Order: sequence, then C-alpha cells, then structure tokens
Amino acid sequence: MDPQLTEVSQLFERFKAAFVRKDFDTCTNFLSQLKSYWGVISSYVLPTSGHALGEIYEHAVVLSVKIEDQDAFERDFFQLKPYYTDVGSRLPLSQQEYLILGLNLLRLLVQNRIAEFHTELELLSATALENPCIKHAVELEQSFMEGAYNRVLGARQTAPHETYVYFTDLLAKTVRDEIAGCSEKAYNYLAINDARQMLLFSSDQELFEYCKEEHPE
Amino acid sequence: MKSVVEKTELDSIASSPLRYRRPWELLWGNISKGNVCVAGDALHPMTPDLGQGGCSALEDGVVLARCLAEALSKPAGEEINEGEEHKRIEMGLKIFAQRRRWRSFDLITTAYMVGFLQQSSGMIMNFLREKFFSRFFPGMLLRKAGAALVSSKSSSYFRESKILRKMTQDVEMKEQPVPCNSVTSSSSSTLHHLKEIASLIETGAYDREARRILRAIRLTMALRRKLKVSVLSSFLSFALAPGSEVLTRLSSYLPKEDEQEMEIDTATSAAQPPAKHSLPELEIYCYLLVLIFLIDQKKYDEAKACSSASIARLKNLNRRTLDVLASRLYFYYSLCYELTGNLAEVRSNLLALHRIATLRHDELGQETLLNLLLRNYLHYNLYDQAEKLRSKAPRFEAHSNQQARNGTFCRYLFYLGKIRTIQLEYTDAKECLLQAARKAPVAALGFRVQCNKWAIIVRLLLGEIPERTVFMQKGMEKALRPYFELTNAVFIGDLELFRSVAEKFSSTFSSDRANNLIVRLRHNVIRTGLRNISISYSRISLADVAKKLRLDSVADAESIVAKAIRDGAIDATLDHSNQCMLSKETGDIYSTTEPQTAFNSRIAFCLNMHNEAVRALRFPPNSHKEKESAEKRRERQQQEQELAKHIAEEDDDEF
Repeated sequence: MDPQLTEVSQLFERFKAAFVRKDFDTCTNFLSQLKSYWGVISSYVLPTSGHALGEIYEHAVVLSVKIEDQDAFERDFFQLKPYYTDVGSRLPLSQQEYLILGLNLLRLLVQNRIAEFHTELELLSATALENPCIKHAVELEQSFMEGAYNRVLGARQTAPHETYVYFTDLLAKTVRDEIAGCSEKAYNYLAINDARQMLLFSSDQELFEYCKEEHPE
Repeated sequence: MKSVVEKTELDSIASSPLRYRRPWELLWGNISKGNVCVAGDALHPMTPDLGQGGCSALEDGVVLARCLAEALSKPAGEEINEGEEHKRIEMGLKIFAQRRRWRSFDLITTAYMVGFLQQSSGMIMNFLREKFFSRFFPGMLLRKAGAALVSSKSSSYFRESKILRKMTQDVEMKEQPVPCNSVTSSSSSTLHHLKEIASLIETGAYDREARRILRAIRLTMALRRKLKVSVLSSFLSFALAPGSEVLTRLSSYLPKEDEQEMEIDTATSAAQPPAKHSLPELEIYCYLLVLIFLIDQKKYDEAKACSSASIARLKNLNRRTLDVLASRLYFYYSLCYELTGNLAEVRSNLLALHRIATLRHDELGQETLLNLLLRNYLHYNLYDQAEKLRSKAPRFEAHSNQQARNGTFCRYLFYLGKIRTIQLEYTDAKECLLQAARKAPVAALGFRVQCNKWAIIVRLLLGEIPERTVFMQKGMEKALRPYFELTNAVFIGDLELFRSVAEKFSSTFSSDRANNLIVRLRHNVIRTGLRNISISYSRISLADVAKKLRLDSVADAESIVAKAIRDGAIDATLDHSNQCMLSKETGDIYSTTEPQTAFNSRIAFCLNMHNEAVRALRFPPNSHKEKESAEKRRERQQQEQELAKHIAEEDDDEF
C-alpha cells in the first residue's frame, strides 16, 4: 500500500510548509485530511510510519495552541499520549516530547485541574523532571500554591518556548484575580501606584477598568 | 458432634438428680442378710465424678463370684447338705460384705470430694484446683481405681488391671502438654498432612463448604516451609489420576532430583480411562501447591509457566467451591510476574479474569482481582487509570467477618488511600490509610509500615503534626526515622532544614514513591514558619520575614503572606507602604464554635465505629432461615420452664 503512504507523507510536507507560513486555516484543512487517513496508516505498524504519526499529532497539538483552541489541544494530546508511553520504548524519543508534556501540564494548571496535574506529574520519570520545559511548569505550580504570585507573573519572561506564551497569559489572568482577593483581605490601605505595580498593569486606566469589572465594591 | 447435640430433641433428654449413699451408712448398715446381699449401685451409689460407678459394680460381681466360689468349694468327696450350704452362702456373703465395705466407702468419699473440688466456683478453690490438684489428683485417683483388682492378686484378671493401668498412663500423658506433632521434619509426615488436606478439600467440595477449603489453605501455608520435591511428586501421583495431562505438566515443572521416571505422553493412549476420578478442586490445589513451591525456590520462569497454565485451566471451570483456590492462584500469578518485572503483561489477563469473576458473581475473586489490578496500575504510577477502574468496578462491602476478606479489604483501602493522596483529596486519603493501618493483622509489619508512612505524609499535608508515638511503634522505628525528621522540619517551619532532610533521605523517599509528595510539603513548611512568626511578633518587617523563612525575595514574601492571610492561616494585616506585617490579637477561642466542631468530629467517629462493629458481627449463615412459628416457640418455652422447675425442686431421697 505504498502509494497511500507516499500520499500521506506528501500531504504532511505541505502541512508543515503551511505551518511555517503561519497559514493556520490551510493547516487545519490539511490536518483533517491527514486524520482521515488515520485508519489506513495505523494498520501498518512500521516504525517509520509510527514516527510520522507521532509527528503529525505533535504538530496538531502545537497548532491547536496557536489557534487557541483548548479542546482541540486536549483531544490531540490524548491521542498523542500512547505514543509516548507504550510505543515510546520502541521509537526514538521525539525532540518535542518534553515540550508537549510541559504544555499539557501548563494547560491543566490554567484550567485549575490540579489533581490531574499531579497525576500526570507522577507519570514523569526523574530525567523528565530535569528538563527545563517541564521544570518551568512544575515551579509555576509550586509558586501558585505557595502564593508567590509575583513569580508567576514574571514567568512570562522565563518561558522556554514561544508556545508557552499563550498559557502564561491565561495564567496571568487567574493570578490577577487571586492577588486582588488576597490584597482585599490583607491590606487596610493600598496606594494606587502600588496596586498597579502588584497587578502588573501598565497604566492606571487599566486598573480602574479592572476594579469596575471584577470588584464593584 | 455439634450437630448431634443440635439435632437432639429437647424431650428426648432426661435429667435426673445425682444421688449417693452417705459413706457412714455403709459402715453401720447391713450389706448382707441371710442369703441375700446388695451389690453394685444398690450397695454403693456414688456421684459420677470418678467414673467408677459401673466399674465398681463389675468389681463387686467379681469379688462376689470369688467369695461364693470359695464358700461353696467342696473338699474332695464331701457332700454338702442344704442347711450347710445355706450357712456357707451366708458366710461367703459376709466375707463379700467385709471386702467391699471399705472399698465402697473409699470410692464414695473420693467421688464426692472430687466432685466438690471440680464443681466449686469459689476463687480459692479455683486457684488451688488449677495450680495444685490438677497435677497429681488424676493419677492418684486412677491408681485408686485400679487398686482393688491389683491387690486381689488374681492372675487371670491381670488383663483388666493392665487396661486400667494403660488408662492411667494415657490420662497422665494427657495432663502434660501434648507436643504438636504436625511439626516433625520427616517428609513422610508432611506427605501425610498433604493427604489429609486433600481429603479436607474433597469433603469441602462435596459439601460445598468454603470454610473447609479455607482451612485447607491455611494448613498448607503452615506446611509451606517443608515442601520438598520428593514429597510433592508423591503427593501429585496420589492426588491426580496417573497418566493424566495435568500430572505430566505439573511434574515437568518440578526439578528432577532422583531421576524419577515421568509418565509417558498419553496422547496415543487417550482411550485409557483414568484409574481415579480427580476432582477439579484437587487439580487446582495441586497447581497451587506446585506454584507456591516454585516461588519459594525462586524458580520464577517455571512459576510463570505454571501459573499461566493454571489460569488457562481455570477459565474453563465454573464451580463456586473453586473460588477460594482460584483467588489464591490469581494472587501468585500476579506475584511471580511482578517478581520478574513483567507486570504489564499480566494486565489484560487480569482484566479479563475480573470480567469473568463479575459475571459469575464470584465475590472473592472480584475483590482479589481488583486489588491485583490496582496494584498493577499503581506500580507503574498510572493513578488516573487506577481511579477509573476503581470507580467503575463493583463496590466492596466492609465485611470483616472472615480472615480472608479482611486482608483484601486492607489492601484495597491502602491502594485507595494512595490514589486519593495523589489526587489531593487528603481527608479521604487519611481516613483510608489510617483504617488500613488499624485493620491490618499485627504480623503484616511491612504493610503497616507502608500505610503509616503514607498516613504521616498525608497528615503533614493536611497541616497536622502526627504525634511522637506514631513513630515509636514497635518494630517501625527505624523505617520511620526519615519521616520523623521530616515531621520535625515541618513542625519547626524551617525551610533550610526541610531541604536538607529531603536531600538526605531522598533515596528512601523515592523508593517509597513519595518524592513528589514531599515536594508539596514545602508549602506547609512555609505556612508553619509564618504562623510561628505571626504569633511571636506583633509587628515585623517583610524583609525580616523573608530572611527568617529563607525565601528568595521580599516580593515573594509579601505575596505569600497575603495568601496566607486570605486562607485564614494567620491573622494579620499588611502594610505595603511601610513593608511590614502587623499581627492581630487572638481572641478567646471558646467564644467561637471551634470546640463544638472538635467535639462533633469525635462523636461522629465513635458512632461510626460502633455502627461498623455492629455490622461486622458474625452470624451463622443459616440462622435467618429457621423462623419458629409463635406456637412452637410457646411450646418450647413451656417445656423449658417445666424442666427448670423439675431441677429446682430436688427431693432429698431417703434410702
């Protein structure tokens, strides 16, 4: 069934090209086409095809981050996971594995699914934990739990990869709410400048808007 | 024996009061009058405590015969006329009376005294009885029983005295503690025990009594250390039909020591009927025995092959009496794969077996397999899947009335506790782990140590400090030492100390798979430290706070403090412009509802325990089936009352 396989790989090439160009619509089209070939390809348990399949899914995952679709991310990630766990012993490690895993952890953190975060964490080996992508996510979670929110907000700068930016932005939003709640209880009196600084707003205007939206009191 | 008693009708039991003749009456009264005499119970009624009532009647007969024989023995050639005969008989009876008088006196008195000693319930009597009398009385009494005949110097009745003496010896032996003769090291006796166990299994299978099979398994465990190849092969040939496929397969697993001949393959002679019909239970039992032996001998590959074969065989059988044996087989199956590190291979098999067990309503199998599957998942840290399986699988009930179920329930609780801990549900986890540690049998030290380790971590994560006694439990001190130091660090609230302890014992923690949990504890350490600071200082600058807690920056400290305030861990306010923390005054705790909630939780716990104890009471399985009708019950009660009255009003019979 070689012609089909070659067709798939061609499609994949075009997909990657579109991806680089940041043409996300064509990317999604290609992706859905690739997925329709799924049943055909997976019947061959060739090492190369397995690798290709894994790559396809990795790209799918990154794509979903770019188009900011969290559900798509979850779906693609779940399909990708078996490649890391079960098949991973037979295939060579993909470079993007840790990146994707770190992204997943971050996503769980943002969605406040801390229990699943920790469950996933248990599955990681010690070497995985040393990897900067994953370490970043773990430390973020720790700071979040301890309450060192300033560190969380500063994490945006330390993100190991550009794809992380999306999630850290989301995280920043959550953190801001937390800080506001804490400050409410903790401070009897707070200058506007200080508030602005803590919440990392760039101007007073934003601060006022925020107050109006979130805390009408 | 019990069923004999249970099935006896009440009205077929006759009760009569005990009677005896007072000994001095024997001395005064007439035993013989003319040519009439009394013998046996008419002569010497006694209480039954010596067991000599009937025996002395026999003695009487013997002595009477002798006396009469002596009295009527004719000198050679002489004739005895009637009058003389009468006189002789009278003399003979008088001699008989003479001989028996003191003997009867002795027996009656002794019987009465023995009865008095044994039946009295005063404290002093009990003490004396247990400590002194029990040692020499029985022998003494039995010698007394045999004394009469031995002293009569009659050789033809020697046999009887020998019997009596043997009785004495037997009884004396019984008084000494009987050495347990099942612990001999000869292989013949092990084989003998195995045969006994096999017969036990057979009866259990025929009567469908799972209890017997459980007992058989317990006995097997006791014999485990003494199994040898020769014993096993002889047992296998005894229990299984010769030439059967099972026998060849099992024999092939055993290492050949004496170059024994194996039965040649029976594929060609399939028409040959087996000489003995072997029960499936026995077959499975043989599999189990061989498997245990192989695991103990560390022959894991053969063990794997044997267990896979047994599982394949089990899938075809569907008998409830096999459940107990089957659950053991599953356990060892999983164990030998775990010992060789191939646990993942077994998973699909275990899942299939679990499905089958659920279909067959095999509760014991379900519980065992669920535990094995959870263990499998947790071994590979697949907490998510473990939880999914557990939530969908049929529930456990908290029946701890059987020893076998208690063990599986403890294991289940432990695995559940672990899952809950990882999922951050600490309260549930703590309950499960503490319960598992409590219910576990005392002998299971390793298991209890593990439960305790996880329980300690969970309690630390919940914010409580376990008491020192937890770490000082018998046999666990060394194992719990790292956790003790960890608790110390958390208690003091020193982040530096915490870090050093975590590093020092990192190998222990990682082998217990608790590394990630320890990392989570960092948060608790900071909190405790913060709490200590807020209590001790009414006002402190944030820079100092950062320094004390060994945090990296002041901004960190500020946010951490703010969060702690929001969570209610400390009572304080922050002053941003001055960068300091002001603590509030602590109010009177009794004016709050805190004492009430504390009481409430304790009361709830006690009530829960009471309910569980009531539920766990063991009732015999058929007791609910026999319900008496009201009439029958009345009748029975009436009978019982009459009986009681009869015993109560005892006439004093005069002789």
